Amino acid sequence: MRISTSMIYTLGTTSVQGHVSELYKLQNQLSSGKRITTPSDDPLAAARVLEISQAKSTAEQYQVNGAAATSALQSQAATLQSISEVLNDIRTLAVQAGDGALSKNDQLAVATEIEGKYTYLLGLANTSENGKYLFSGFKGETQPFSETSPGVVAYNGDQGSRLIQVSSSRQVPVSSPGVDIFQRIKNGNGDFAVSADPAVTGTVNQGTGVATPGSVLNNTLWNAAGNTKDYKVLFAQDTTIAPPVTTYDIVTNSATTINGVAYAAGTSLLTNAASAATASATGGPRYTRVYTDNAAISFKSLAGDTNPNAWDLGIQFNVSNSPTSTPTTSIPVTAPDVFTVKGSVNNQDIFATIHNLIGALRTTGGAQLANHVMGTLANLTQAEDAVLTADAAVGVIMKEVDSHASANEDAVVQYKTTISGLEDLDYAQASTDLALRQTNLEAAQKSFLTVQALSLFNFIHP
Amino acid sequence: MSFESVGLSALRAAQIGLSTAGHNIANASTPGYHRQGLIQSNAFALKTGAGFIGQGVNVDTVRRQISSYIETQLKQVQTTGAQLDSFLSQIEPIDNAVGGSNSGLAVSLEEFFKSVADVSSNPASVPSRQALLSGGSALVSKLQSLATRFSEVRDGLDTQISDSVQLINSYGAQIANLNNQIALQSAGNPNQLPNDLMDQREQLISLLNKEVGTSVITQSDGSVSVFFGSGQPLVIRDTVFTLAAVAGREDAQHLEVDYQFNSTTNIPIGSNNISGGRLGGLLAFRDQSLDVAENSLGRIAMAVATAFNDQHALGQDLAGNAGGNFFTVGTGNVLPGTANAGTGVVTTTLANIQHVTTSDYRLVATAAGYTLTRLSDSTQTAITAAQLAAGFTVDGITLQLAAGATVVGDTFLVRPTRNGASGITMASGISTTTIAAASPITTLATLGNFGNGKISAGSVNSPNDKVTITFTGAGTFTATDNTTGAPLIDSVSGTTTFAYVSGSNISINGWTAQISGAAVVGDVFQVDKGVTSKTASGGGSTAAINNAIISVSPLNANLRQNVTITYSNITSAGTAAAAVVPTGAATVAAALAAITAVAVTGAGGTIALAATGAAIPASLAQANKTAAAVADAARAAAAITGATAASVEAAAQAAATAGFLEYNVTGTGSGIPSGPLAYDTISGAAISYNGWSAKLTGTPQNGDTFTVGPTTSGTADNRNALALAQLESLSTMSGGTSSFQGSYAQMVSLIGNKTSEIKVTGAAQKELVQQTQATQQSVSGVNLDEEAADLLRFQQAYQAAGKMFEISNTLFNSILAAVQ
Repeated sequence: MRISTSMIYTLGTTSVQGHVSELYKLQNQLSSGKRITTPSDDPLAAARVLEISQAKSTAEQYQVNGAAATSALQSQAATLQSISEVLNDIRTLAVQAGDGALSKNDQLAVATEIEGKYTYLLGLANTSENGKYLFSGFKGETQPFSETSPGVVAYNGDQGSRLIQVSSSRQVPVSSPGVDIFQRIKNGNGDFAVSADPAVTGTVNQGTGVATPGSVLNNTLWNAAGNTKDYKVLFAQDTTIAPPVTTYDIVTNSATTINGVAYAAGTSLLTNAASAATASATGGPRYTRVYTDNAAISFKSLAGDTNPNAWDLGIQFNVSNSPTSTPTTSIPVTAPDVFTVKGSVNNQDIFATIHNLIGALRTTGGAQLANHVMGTLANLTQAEDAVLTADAAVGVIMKEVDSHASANEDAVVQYKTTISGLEDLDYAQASTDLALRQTNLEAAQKSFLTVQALSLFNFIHP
Repeated sequence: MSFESVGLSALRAAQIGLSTAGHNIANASTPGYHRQGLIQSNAFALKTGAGFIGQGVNVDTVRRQISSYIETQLKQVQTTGAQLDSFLSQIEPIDNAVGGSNSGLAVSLEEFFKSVADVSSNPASVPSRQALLSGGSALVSKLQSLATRFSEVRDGLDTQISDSVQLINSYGAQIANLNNQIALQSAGNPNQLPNDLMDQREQLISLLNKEVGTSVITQSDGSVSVFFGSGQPLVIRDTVFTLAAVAGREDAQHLEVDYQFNSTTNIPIGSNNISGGRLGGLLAFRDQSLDVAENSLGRIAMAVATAFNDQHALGQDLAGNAGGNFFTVGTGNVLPGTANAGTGVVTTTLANIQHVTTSDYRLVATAAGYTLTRLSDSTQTAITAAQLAAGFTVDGITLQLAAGATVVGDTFLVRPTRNGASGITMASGISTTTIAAASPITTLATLGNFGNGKISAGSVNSPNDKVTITFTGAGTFTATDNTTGAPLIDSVSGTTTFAYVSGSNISINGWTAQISGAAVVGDVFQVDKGVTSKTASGGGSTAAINNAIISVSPLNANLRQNVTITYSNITSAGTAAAAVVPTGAATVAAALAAITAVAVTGAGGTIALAATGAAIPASLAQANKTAAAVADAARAAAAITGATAASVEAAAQAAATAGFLEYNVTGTGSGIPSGPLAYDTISGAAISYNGWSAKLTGTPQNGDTFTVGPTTSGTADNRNALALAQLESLSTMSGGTSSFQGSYAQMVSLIGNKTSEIKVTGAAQKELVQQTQATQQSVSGVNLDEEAADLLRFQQAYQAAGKMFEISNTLFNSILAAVQ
């Protein structure tokens, strides 16, 4: 092929320029460490990098969120732990006060000690972190609990539970509204509460009978439709013979329906008639069932009852020591010892419970105090359960946050690897390319010089 | 004598050969120069008795070495190369600006949503809230700076288009002038062509081709006619058709290329009629890439701002007020044609960002109304005058004739998204206290409730909630919020039954859509985040749903009213149920068998319905629950010591009459339930009231209450911030298929791909140009070695001819000497 002289020069400069521009690009890649410096270098990878980078950024954010959640949960768990300890201390003190062996002064001392614990508990309920209260729901800057009058603690927070996003599909609660931990607690044994408290029974028991919190034997029966869960057990002591005989009656406190049979308020479930003690052969007051110290008082039909309808409420509790009545030698009984059995309520206020215990320690003694302590212990158990439930929930969530955190961490590593694979430079390859380009450039330069030096004019000598 | 004349002709030929070679050497580097060569032939021989005696040499002409085929090919590849070059030089700055993973919009978007997430974790923290404001400002300024980059490129583009048009005019004039000269000089002697003038003309055509692609036809008189584009004349003989770059007829910022007939009359050419060369590259870049890229960016900006504002409006700020706008959304614009005869003013507003495309539109007034053309794919939509007057929604934008009247032929250029990125700003009045991180409503379970019923935190109904519309008849339908499962209430009827009128507005949760056509029972439509669809497995009618229009505000006026949810036990209608329970069995076992048979075989359904009439929707499964309760009661009673057939039957009847729980909402406002509804403890219940929704779960008891009211002092409430943070990964664009970042990645991919394509084809074209140039040079180029050889050759020829004269002289002298 014919070659024009100008083509030799054009070719020479074009090839040198081509190599130089490739060298420039390689140098740019090597200095930035990136294979893709503009989207056009690899449009597909560039777009993919953007998408993965968002996923990575989101996963990283979830990690940050997870750390915030863990920190919030940790302080909550620590506080719940302290609350649990305080409740346990109060329980120990209550048991100590309830054994009946304490002198009045000792009782007062215990009351004072419990009062200290009460104040501490109120402080814990108002724990704040960075100026934000732990237990006030969404109202971060509102003190959740305030004592409006002695023993009356008002909740000022709301029932919100702050959520934190720890993975694309999971928002975990990191705060618990205080009302659920301190004031929305069941009383008694969780199903029913036995009480000898004069404020509830309407009478001050004369005897030394102490009731246990009792237990539910059959949930279906206790929760059967129609059961209004409001009963009382009346005791009568017949001292006309020796040893005295104590009897009791199970009476409806309000109208109820058991096993399809309706009973009016004040009806004895043992006789299906209005509750009344009958005179024994010696003239003393007698109810239907005979009491044995510390034997179970069963809420169901037993042999010897005269109620023609079979009935069973599925609960029982025990009474120990010696309940009595007024009078003990004749009828009618005007003031039997009374224990009420009511369905548990859902709004036991732990502050009120402790405050009432302090009051009982200061003002009462004997069986009344013993019964009060027994009831308080049952209530404390419910409160501790509430705290433990909250604590367990926190633990479960912390564990979940941890597992999300490690999943997120794996994801971030995975995303980083993918992004690196897409946009990072293969240094070995690039360095080799650079050396090759350099050689090519030198070859182009040298060959151009050689070719352009060849000219016939060099040989024409005039 | 003849010997001398032969020598003379040889001498002359050698001389011309030498000067031609010299001319070639002199012009070796002249652009457009074609090597010239001597054309010589032997002179006619003299016929003598001794045969034909040669008379020497004739110099016929000096001719260019040229292959017109290769010349044409070279011009073609050069014009394509120039087009690709100019396209690349324009798109490269944009390619750099949108950047990779570490620059461009992507990082700003990520940082912004990180700051949103930070507020959701620390809603009360003022530094976190400040960081969100900074993140928002950074996002806004990034969008604006990208928009500025685009407008700079557009400005530069206009300057270059004007430059190019001027050059084309100048080349055209020079070509016409040369045409004239060449025609004059070759007149009467068509074999002797003015080589150098023709070279100059070739060179001018070649330069012209670098500006715009042309085709050239040579005329018989040696002049050329130059055409460009799809056959528009530029030069015919000595006539030049002048071009002008003029302000666009719709968008003055958009230069168009026209023919300039005289000082007043221009004829538009249309940019799609111009291809090749720099001008072709500039116009193609503007129409194919710049407009789409700018619109894409605008759409992303509008989507971020709209989605964020919409969610923000559902929240509550630190001061207890409903969330205001966080961003100011850029608005679309409509440019009326400069030649419009009417006075009509058309406006465009954003209806639903989900459906907005990156295309521009042209609205033309026709005799029948209007025709809207989507410029990206020329899809046409007919709009009636009444529709445009009322506001017509298509592709997520609403067009409206806001004022004046149009005349047939009036045009409007609609650009829904062009100003999205330049128009976005932080809303005035947004501050750390006005960030709406909280939710405006709070739910409370009343302390002292006996049951363990619960109420969810509740949420404000959002237009993004998925809603299912189910036709219950040809003229009625119900709507359900899928997020909470709550049935939705018709604001017109006040009940859950909506009356269906084909084509009329259905407004739920802040969106408005229309269903049209004949619907039948079982037809199911869905609206999810503003995307409408019809479920295939529905009633099978041809009714269709159109795009939803999203508008969050105003929120329900009663949103923050206090309402109370109360549970009550319904026992009144018990006797009918009790009658269904079998009685009169002889033994406990027989009674139990009879009762459980009724309950288990499903006749329990009869029991419950008999007890409650039609008040209980079958969906609540109250029937089965009652039947199960009856069976449980019978079994428990049978287990009691001393049980009789009568006591078992009595217990079963008591369970049957025990009734069921109802719940009702009281307080200011309206919603579902509008009256007492049966409560199912297994599936719970969903409430939609006053524009919020909440779920009731668990087993509440008679008399239990829950309240829903305004959030007060909710400094640690992060519910709306959580929803805001989730926007990052929600598919809120392109009909629910793409997130913000996904759309940006799509835009980057579009620009990257185009740039890469241009780079690759540009490189290939360069290669082609080089090869064609080499071919052209191999025909027409000057090789100095060749010229050196020619110089030697002609020098020797000249010397040989000189020798002839010497010999002739010697011969002559010999004769003279012989004569003397």
